[in-house]
Amino acid sequence: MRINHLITPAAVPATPSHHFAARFAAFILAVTVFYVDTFTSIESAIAVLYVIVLLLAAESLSRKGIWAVSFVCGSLAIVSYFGTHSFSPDFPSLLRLAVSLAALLITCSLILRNDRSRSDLIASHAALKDSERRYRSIFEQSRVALWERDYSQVRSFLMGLKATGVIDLREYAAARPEIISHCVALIRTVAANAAARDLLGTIGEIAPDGSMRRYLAPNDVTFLELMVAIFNEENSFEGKGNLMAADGQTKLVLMSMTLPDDSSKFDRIIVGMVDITEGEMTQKALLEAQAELTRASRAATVGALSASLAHELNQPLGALVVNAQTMLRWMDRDPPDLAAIRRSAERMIRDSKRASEIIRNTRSLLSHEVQILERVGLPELIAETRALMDHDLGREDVTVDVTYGPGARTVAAVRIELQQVLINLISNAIQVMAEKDVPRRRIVIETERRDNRSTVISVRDFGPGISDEAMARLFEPFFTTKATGMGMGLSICKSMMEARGGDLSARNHTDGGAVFEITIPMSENDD
Amino acid sequence: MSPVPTIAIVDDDQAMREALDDMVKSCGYESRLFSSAEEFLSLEQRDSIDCMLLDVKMPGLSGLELQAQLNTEPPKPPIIFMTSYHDERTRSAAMEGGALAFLGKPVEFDCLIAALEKALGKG
Repeated sequence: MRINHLITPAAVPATPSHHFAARFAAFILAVTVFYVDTFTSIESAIAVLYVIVLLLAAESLSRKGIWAVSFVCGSLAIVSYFGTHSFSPDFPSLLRLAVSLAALLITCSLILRNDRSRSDLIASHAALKDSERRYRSIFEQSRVALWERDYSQVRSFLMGLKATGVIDLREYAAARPEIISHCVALIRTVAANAAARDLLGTIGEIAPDGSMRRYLAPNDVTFLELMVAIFNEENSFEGKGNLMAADGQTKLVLMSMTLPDDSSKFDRIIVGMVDITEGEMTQKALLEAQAELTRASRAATVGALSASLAHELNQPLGALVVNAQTMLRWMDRDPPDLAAIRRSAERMIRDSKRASEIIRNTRSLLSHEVQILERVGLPELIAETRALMDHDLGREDVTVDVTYGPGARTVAAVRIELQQVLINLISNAIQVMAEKDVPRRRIVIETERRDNRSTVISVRDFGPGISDEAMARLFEPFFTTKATGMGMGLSICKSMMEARGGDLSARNHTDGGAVFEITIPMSENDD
Repeated sequence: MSPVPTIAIVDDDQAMREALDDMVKSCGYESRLFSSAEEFLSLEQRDSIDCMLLDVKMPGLSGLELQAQLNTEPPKPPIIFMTSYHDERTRSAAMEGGALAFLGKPVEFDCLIAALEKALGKG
């Protein structure tokens, strides 16, 4: 950034002709005074009038010049004195000379002092101007959107409320939401820089009344927080807020401002804003993509697994059916071929064993794939899972409340498994509440330590609960109540938890809704 | 044609071969077992085979490839396909290649018997 460094002229410049006239008048006066002093016999301190010469000349002279003129005038006075009184010095005339010289000296020193303070003043004024210019230049050229705003009316309004006994502004504003828009209307924008105008488009230009109303998206809690900061006389404010740009787009900005201690300074507060819309959008897109990926890979795993299971199992099952049918044929013979029947039965037993072997192998493959138990912080895990599901939760307008029971914050588990189970339960809860059109969609997650032996994470929805029929078959593979579900989710989740010595169970809450409980066995050092 | 018809069973799965072998015997036919298409092709007296029960998916030559090869090098016995992958494309490829029947696994026993009898000219 380039800052223009201009030196301002110190004061109103005196023109050369003005200088010349002053000097000429001074010269004429000096000659006149000298003449009168020397060649007339007026008995008074004429030489005092040299002071006027000095004053006239001082305007256009440097400090040295002033000294020189003072010296010349003093010398002239002395010359005149000795020219007229050289041989009869009397006390009164000597006194008059002394007075004249003293007057000259005093005037000279006063002029010099005045000159010094004047040049000091000029210098500091120049510095001030320079600083103002630099500030303007930074303000205007900064890529951060900056506003100069007058919050003094807002402040006096809020202080007025405080004086009437309001203690908690949030509470007060909750009861009277209209005060927010009232306060917004009280803000005046003094100036906005180029970046600020870019940020908001044409409405970044200050409205004739300086009003801010149009710049704030409706119902913005950030503004209330700013009011609270002013109300509580805090030193600064920082927050994320929405602004409505000229094209109607809502922009998410990070805003920050310093609130002065001195109430009189509230008329010019610098508000800085950085547009973080894109960053936030990118992050949101990233999280959505992650959630999508988790869902997709879960579906792919289930798909691949069931395809390979189906193929593997088809061989022994196919053989089993053929053997059983053949056995029936041997039995239908008259007399039945007992040796052949025995052979068929033995083969059926062998094929059945092979089928269950395949299932057992698949299961152990599932549970031993990732064997590392790690310390999993539940608050972090739940927060991360919520972030992954943010899109789904937001779309269906579901709120999630989490409570941590004493000593139920970390567990030893396979993080990814636990997260998959949580995702499953939360997405089931979202779906069930969306399908049944539950008015107040809420999920309550609670962690609890049970009998010093296990940690339980429960996920409760506020849907219609689980029917008796569904309850009986809930964890069976391929049981589903959803139109598009495969019915593998809960079944896989339960096996995963069981493989780690834990459990997944379901019940209906006494106050309605279903509760799923993940039980995780405790290790030595859980806290 | 020999008095007792001989059925060739071509399947890479041993349990399946044995089960089909027993089933064929319970119907009163003879059977010959082959664990691959290649093994069947190396059989010298191919005309001693009256019908084939053929798996589609096998290591090496697949059932469909075996059928194609037999079409170019007769004799070719009637073929009954048996497969876990009963998708329509495989099915029509098999039928276009001249298959007698295309059955899914686990096999419908009655369909299999009916197909066999049809192949042996008894249906």
